[in-house]
Amino acid sequence: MNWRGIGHLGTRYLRRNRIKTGLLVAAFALVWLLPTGIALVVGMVETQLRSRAADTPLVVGHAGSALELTFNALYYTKPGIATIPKAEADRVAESGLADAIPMYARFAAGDHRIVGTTLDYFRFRDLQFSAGRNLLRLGECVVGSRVAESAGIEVGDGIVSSPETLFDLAGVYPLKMNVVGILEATGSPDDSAIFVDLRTTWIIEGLGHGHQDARETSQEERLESEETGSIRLNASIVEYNEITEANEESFHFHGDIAQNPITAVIVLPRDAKSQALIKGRYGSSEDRILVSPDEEMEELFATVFSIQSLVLLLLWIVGAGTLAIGALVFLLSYRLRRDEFRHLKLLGSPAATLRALIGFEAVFVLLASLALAAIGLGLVQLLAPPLIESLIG
Amino acid sequence: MIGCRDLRFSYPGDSFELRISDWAVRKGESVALIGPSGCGKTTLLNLIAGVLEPDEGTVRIGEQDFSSLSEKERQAFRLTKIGMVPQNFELLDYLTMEENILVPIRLAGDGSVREEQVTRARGLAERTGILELLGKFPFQLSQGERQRAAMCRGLITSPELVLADEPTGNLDPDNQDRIVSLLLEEAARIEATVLMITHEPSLEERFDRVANVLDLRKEAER
Repeated sequence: MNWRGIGHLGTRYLRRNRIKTGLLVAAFALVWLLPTGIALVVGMVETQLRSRAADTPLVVGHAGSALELTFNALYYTKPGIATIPKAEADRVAESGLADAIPMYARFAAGDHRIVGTTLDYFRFRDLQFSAGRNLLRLGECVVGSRVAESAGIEVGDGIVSSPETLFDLAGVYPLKMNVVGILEATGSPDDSAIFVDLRTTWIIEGLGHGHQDARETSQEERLESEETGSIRLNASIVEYNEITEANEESFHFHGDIAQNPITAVIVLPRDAKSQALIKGRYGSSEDRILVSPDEEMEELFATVFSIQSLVLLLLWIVGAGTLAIGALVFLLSYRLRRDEFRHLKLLGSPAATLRALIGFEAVFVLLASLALAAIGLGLVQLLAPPLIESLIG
Repeated sequence: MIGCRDLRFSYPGDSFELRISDWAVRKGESVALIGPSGCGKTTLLNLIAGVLEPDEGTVRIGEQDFSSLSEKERQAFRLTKIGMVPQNFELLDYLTMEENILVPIRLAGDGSVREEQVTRARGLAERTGILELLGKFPFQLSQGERQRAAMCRGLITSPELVLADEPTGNLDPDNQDRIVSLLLEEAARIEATVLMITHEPSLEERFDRVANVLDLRKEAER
C-alpha cells in the first residue's frame, strides 16, 4: 500500500475542505469530551466534597435541611440557615462525650466568608501558618491562602466586613478586622475563608459593640440628663468600627453570651461509643439535628450519580446521532467524489488505495477529534480544580 | 506496439459487441481513432488500457500480453507505462495544477516525488504554456488551461503509450489545434505511441494514421 501517496492526497483533500473537516473534528471531539468531561468534573467535585466530609465526624445545627447544614459547616455556603445558641456547643462539650467546635459562617467580606470559630478549629483541621500568628484578640482575623492571594493581603493589613443591607441602621455594621495570620494552602474551603474569633462575628452582627464612654459624652450627645440615674445617648455617639488595643476594653456584649447565635457545632466524639450516644441524644430532638457529613455526601452523590447517568445516556444518544451524521457526511462526500475515484482508478490506482484514501479522511477526523478531546480533558483537569475549589470554597 | 487479436467484448445485459480480428499500431505511431458515437471507440481504448477485460482474444502492449496479467499488475502497468488523457480533464479540485500533474507519480511506487520529476513536470508545463499557473487550483483556470494540465499529467511518467479519449471535445477550434499539436510534439519527444479518439475531421490529418472503429468491426465480422 502506497501510504505516502495516500497521505499526500488525503491531507490535501482535508486541507482544501478545512471548514468541513474542522466542523467534523469539533463535533466528534464534543461527542468524546462532554461525557468524559462531565464524569471527570463530577469525580473531582465528589473527591473534593467527600474528603472534607469524611474528616468531619458529626455536625449539630438547627432542625431543617441536613444538606444545607453540612454545606454551611464544611464549605461555608448557605449563610442563611437558621442559627442555634452557642450554649449548644457548650452542652456537647460538657457531656464529656465529644469535643465541640462552634462555627458561625454567616457574614462575608467581599467574596470571602467570615467564619467565627475557636482556636480548636485550627487544630482540628491542622491548619498551618505561612505568615503571622493565630488569633489572640477581638477584631483580629486569619485569612486563607486564596484570600491573601486574590486581594494581595499581607499580615498587618485590614479587611472590612460587608454590610448586609446598606440602609439597615440596626443591622450589620462594617467592621475593620486586622489580619494577623495567613494560612498555608490546603485545597479546601478554608483557603477562601476569613477566620475570626466567635465574638468578633457577634460584634459584626451588632450583638456586641464598643463606643466612647457614656460618662465622657457631652450634653449634645445625650437624650436626657444624668439626673434619672442612667445616661441615654443619641445617635451622635461615636461607635467604633475597628477594634484596637486602645478601644478593645470598651467592647462589650449585652445579654447572655451563651445565647448568641452560631450556625453549627462540629462534634468530635471521643470514641465510637460516644458517637453512638450523641446520635441517640439528638435522635429525638425536634429543634436540633445531628448529621454525619459523610452520610449526607453519600446521599447527595447517589442523587448526583443517578442524574449524571441520565445526562450521560442522553449525551451518548446525541453523540451517536452526531457520529451517524458524520458517517452520512463521509458517505455523501464519497458519492460526490465518485468521478474522482473512477478517474484515479483509470489512471491505475488500485481499489485498495482508493478505499484507504476514503478511510484516511475518516481516521484523520476520528484521531484529530480524539486528540482535541484529550486536549480538552487536559484543560478540564487543569482548570476545573481551582474552579471547583472557588465554587465550593 | 499495440496488438489486438480476435478481440471480443460485450457489456453484461447489453446487445453491443465489439469484435476486432487483427489490429496493430507500431511503436511511436500516432493514430486517430474515429467513428460514430456508440461504435466502441472508448471501449477499445479501455480494453487497450486494461480497464476492461476482453471476453475473448488478446491485447498486447509491447511484449506484454494484458490477458495474462492480474488486475493489480494491469493497474501497475497502466500507472507507469500508459498515459491517460481524458475528455473532461478529471483534475482533482483540491490539488494545485502542479500537484495534479504529479498525481500518477504519487500513486505509483512509494508515493514520493523526486526532484527530477518535479523538474519534468515544470518542463512540461513550460512547453504547454501553463508554467505560471502551476500554483493555481483547477477552478481558477480556463478549460484550455485545464486540458493542457491533464495532458501534462498523462505525459509525466514518460509513458510508452498515450491514450487520449477525445481530449479536445470541450475546446474551441483554436485550443483543439493547439492541444493536439502539443500532445503530438511531447509524445514524439519521448517516442510514445499515441492513440487518440476524435470527432474533428480537421485534426485527423495531424496523425500518422486514422482508424475507423466501425471499419475494424466490419472487418472482424467478415
